[in-house]
Amino acid sequence: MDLPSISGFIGSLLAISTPILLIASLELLVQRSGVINLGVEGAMLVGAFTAYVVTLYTSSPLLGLLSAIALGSLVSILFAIMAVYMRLDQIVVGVSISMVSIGLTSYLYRLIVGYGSPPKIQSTLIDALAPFLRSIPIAGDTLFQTPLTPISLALPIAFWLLLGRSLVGAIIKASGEDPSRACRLGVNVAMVRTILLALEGIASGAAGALLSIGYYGSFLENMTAGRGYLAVALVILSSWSPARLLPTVLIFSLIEVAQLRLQASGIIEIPYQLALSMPYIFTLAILAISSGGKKAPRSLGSSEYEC
Amino acid sequence: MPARSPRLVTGLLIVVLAPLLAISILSLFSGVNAVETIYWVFWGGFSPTQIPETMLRATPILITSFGLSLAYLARIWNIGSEGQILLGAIATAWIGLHLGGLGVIGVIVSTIFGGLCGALWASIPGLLRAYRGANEVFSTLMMNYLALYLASYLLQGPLRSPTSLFPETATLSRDLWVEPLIPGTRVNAFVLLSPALIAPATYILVARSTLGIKLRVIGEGAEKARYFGIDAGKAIVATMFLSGFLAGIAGSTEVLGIHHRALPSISQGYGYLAIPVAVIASLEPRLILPLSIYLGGVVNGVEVAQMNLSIPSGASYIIQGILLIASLPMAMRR
Repeated sequence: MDLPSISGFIGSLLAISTPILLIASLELLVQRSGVINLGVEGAMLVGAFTAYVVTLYTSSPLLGLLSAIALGSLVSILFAIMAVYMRLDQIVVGVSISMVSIGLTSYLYRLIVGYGSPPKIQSTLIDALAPFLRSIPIAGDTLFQTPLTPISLALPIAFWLLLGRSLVGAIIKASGEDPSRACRLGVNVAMVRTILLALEGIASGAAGALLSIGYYGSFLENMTAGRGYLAVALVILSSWSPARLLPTVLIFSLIEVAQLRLQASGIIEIPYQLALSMPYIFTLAILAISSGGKKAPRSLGSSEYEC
Repeated sequence: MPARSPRLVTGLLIVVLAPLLAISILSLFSGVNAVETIYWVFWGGFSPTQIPETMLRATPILITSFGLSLAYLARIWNIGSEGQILLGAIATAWIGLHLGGLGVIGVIVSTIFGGLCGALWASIPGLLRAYRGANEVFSTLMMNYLALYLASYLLQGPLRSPTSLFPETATLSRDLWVEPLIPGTRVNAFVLLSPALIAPATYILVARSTLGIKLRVIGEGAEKARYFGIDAGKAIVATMFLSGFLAGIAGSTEVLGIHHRALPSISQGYGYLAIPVAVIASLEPRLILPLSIYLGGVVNGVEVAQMNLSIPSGASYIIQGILLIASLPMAMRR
């Protein structure tokens, strides 16, 4: 392979890994604090939809991104109210929020756009953010389509440091391992979890915006298609370690790139349904392999604790 | 008798009111008066001319929620019925196309075959839960999406009728049709048989049988189950198999009694609507029939309201999600 095609390959690899890495990094912190949030699928979809509609009406992709971040964190805070404060089952709350998000975005999309083919937005997030990227050294805008990509690569490293060597990291881990004890020592466990969830909502909203107004230029019903669930599963597969998360996500993105290239080359014919169901298949396979891992935060999935 | 509690009353109220509240709010988005929407939902669901269609929709909900209520007694939170119904329907249509001319025997064989395929599909998350500890709410949801894509592949590819414009199987031979019993309606033997069989069966199994007690023991955890000589792993798989079997049968009845072929939209969310019904039925089994009819009517009515008031489709997914959060956590709380 010559140099341009290698950089093209890495570019598409990073394009695929960025949204998943953004969500998975924050989901890792959230899970380390004892919460499993399947609502990220919904937050991502709401982000994708909001970014599209706002950009369509204001022609400003940056405004689209900001609104996606706002609504993404709103969805996440809704999850926190039900799962952290009302102590409803985390998995059921996450699944329900994602289902309602699919329905609500499809409904509002039909209401706003109707049943015809969707209008494409004029200028994408990638166009809007290009000037920033030129300032990044080492082939900024050939590898990184938006600043979200270098951020997504930096997050696992930052969180590795955060969890390993800071008081905040210790508080997060304590909330996930023994919330009752953490609470008795003066940690506001519910608040720790809620703040992390709100941050995860920001990441999910941004990841969704990247799909709709970054890569695709439009919105499709259920366009996140299981990527949020996959991000949750990849956290489990990497045994809740930020150091393992980065390579794990990159390997899965590599598989996806290979699959897309194979499909485009026409060497073997893959039914499009199989390609679309990949995130769900991987998620299920990871659940089968890694469930009940000994390294899981001890109170993961349970919102019950005493103080 | 199962324990009764204020939570049954609260749960029932939420399940009854949540869909109405959701559709009202959605209609406000589209600038339609909420009172008018509710009127059309009730007219479309429960006016005398609409009752037969409501019964038609209540049937798969009833059959599916029967299986789910048994799983929920054992605290196995299967939410994968939607996929199990869909694959049961496709399996029934596939085998039915090979059984033309066998009449009643063909109907029975293809019904059971549909049930078995639903059961096999449900067994996968059952095995994952029993032997790998994988959370069944998460895994059955993934199985629903996989079923959707698998169905789409089968109906557009190998099983597609060469003469149809749509992704659907060929029509079954006439002798496999379970014909309407009441002229002018689509009410067939399944619609009349299932309340007669399933409503009492739920009551007996949930409230009056040793199986019901065993299921509750399984729900108390592996240790307690072992104390009573029950292998929890096997019991979990068997419970998933049973609830998947009934969901598959629900799919079969849609094919044999109504559509006479398999198509992608054959389950209108019945698998998700059965969840709140099953939650309530595992607390009070006598409510399984009225609640199935109620939700069948609401689905029917929402569709009528959407058509008459030009509200965009998509409301049903929202209603299903809200019903899920409104009902399942209540059953999960000890």
